[in-house]
Amino acid sequence: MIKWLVSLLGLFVVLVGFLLTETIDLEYPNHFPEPVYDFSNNKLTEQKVKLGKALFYDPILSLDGSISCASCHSPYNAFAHTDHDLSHGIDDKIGIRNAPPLFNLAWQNLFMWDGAINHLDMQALAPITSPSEMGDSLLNVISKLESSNKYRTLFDEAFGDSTITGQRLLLSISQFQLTLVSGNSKYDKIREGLDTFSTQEKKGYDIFIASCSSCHSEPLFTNGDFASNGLEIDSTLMDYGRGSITKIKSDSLLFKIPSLRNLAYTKPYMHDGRFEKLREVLNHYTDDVVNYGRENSSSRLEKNLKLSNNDKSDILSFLKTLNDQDFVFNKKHRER
Amino acid sequence: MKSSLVILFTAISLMLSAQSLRSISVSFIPVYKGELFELNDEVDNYDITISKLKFYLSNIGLSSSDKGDWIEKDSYHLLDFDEPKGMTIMLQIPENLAANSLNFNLGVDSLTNVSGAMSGDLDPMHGMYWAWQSGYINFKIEGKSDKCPGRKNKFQFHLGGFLAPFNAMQKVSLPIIIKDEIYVVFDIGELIESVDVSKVYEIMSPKAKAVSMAQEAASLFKIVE
Ligand code: HEC
Ligand code: HEC
Repeated sequence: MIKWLVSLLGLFVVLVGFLLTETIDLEYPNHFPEPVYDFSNNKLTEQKVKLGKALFYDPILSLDGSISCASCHSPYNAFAHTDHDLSHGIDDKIGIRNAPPLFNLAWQNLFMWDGAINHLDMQALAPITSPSEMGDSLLNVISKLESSNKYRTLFDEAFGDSTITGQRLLLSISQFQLTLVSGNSKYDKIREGLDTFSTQEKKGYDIFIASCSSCHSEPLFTNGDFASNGLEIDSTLMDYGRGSITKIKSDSLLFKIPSLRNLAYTKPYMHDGRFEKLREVLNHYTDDVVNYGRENSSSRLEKNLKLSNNDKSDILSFLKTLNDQDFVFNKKHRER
Repeated sequence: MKSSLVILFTAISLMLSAQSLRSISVSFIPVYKGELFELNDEVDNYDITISKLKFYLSNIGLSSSDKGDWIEKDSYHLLDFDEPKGMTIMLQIPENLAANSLNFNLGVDSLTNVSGAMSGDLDPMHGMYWAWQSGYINFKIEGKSDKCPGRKNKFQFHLGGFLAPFNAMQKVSLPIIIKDEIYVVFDIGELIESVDVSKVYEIMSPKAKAVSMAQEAASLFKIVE
């Protein structure tokens, strides 16, 4: 009899444990495609997201304890960095690139402007570690976390025991970032049939579809590929983008096609943050497209786009419908 | 109740023993021009000190030309010369396996390279993963030599890369006779001489030189008869 009770109790404990770490589904709008992130290897749970969020906001992750992920990816800027000067970054390379906003990462295959990183889980290694001592400093971060009661508890809640490994750390940071879904802009509401474009927005939308959507395709406003939009290479940076990663000539000067959601919060624009205003971006597309005559022309804008000043105003008015206030002001994504 | 448990237990253990297994060890012994050496001590008669030697072996298997292959499940091993037990791999093989070659990959396959954060030997905390450009370091050797013009006379070879044309992983196949303890030597001295540290002393990213050095490394494994 007692044995039965004990096993019943055991079953109960297991069940409760199971319920406590119940997996949650990523919420996203109906008009989004299926995520590309493989959740079967990293099932979302409240506890892991909570741990990931704590880590994201904690300078304990940087070698000298001075900066956190949020120092460069601010929630108030759709997790981009509006301060152009990145010189206090950790790696030389970081100083030449603009910190991109972070949202809809579950739909992204390659990360960084040049796609150097092939999985969201592995991205956090780049900022956490200095390049030369990489493994050692990840171990160092782990040992800092191990000596913190707060983190031992958080890891315990998330994983069922308080062991801290590189994998657990990375999976949790991914989990928090995966929950950063931006899909509640006016555009999205229109897609769901809850709102309508103004006349000007509609005109802008039509021009956008004709001129821009081959690269910035709906509904994420990027097709996830790499392209050249004809930016002149900055001779002080000599950044060849994708080409320096694949070492393939025809990839030279290609950069990740960024989403155009939340542009109101994410200036400056382009991989090197060269433009402060969206008007400048549009002027680039009509006046300054450089054709370096390189291979792989299908990924390259080869000549200026023809857009009148009115067209530009219409596009700008459409782009505003992609700003997702609910996302930027969502308290759930903030530190507390 | 009790008796049914007993029956279940014996059934399971019978099933397990039917597939009876044999445990063998494969030990890797680095040498320098044929001589044993230690980390962080100058190698006798050579102006060279090795400070780090770590590499991945994966997909370890045994095969014979007429019978099929046996391949270890989830076969990823990080070997570290700095760890006392770090250079020996235990394999649980079928008792009656007849095989005449030992096969493994030097490095990590490309699928694993794109599959996110892994655990165990593949956990990036072991320092065998590049931060700024995703990918495992398949083979890492560091040290110093007066011949080396680099900073503090140091050389660092981090060989890796999983994308064509710079896929650095190498297949190795060695003729063996199965026994309880198998020993494999590989001559680090040959590897270092093949690159000439007075000219090449730093390989830190996927490139043609990394591939050719990985090929050289893979060719150095020899079974101790
Ligand atoms: C010093 C500023 C800085 C810090 C700190 C920082 N990042 Fe970034 N982040 C950047 C920059 C710059 C890039 C783009 C780098 C590139 O393209 O080479 C980037 C890129 C990314 C990307 C890729 C986004 C995309 O769309 O490709 C992710 C994800 C990311 N960071 C997450 C993090 C996380 C998580 C942390 C903390 C562990 C972090 N960042 C810390 C500046 C920073
Ligand atoms: C050939 C593909 C292509 C086309 C067509 C294209 N873009 Fe882009 N766009 C890109 C790429 C690639 C970048 C990033 C370039 C870089 O930073 O080097 C970019 C960047 C941008 C940015 C900056 C986003 C940021 O977060 O920094 C904006 C805004 C933009 N494009 C708007 C447009 C508009 C509006 C159109 C149509 C008038 C358009 N694009 C057409 C490929 C394209």
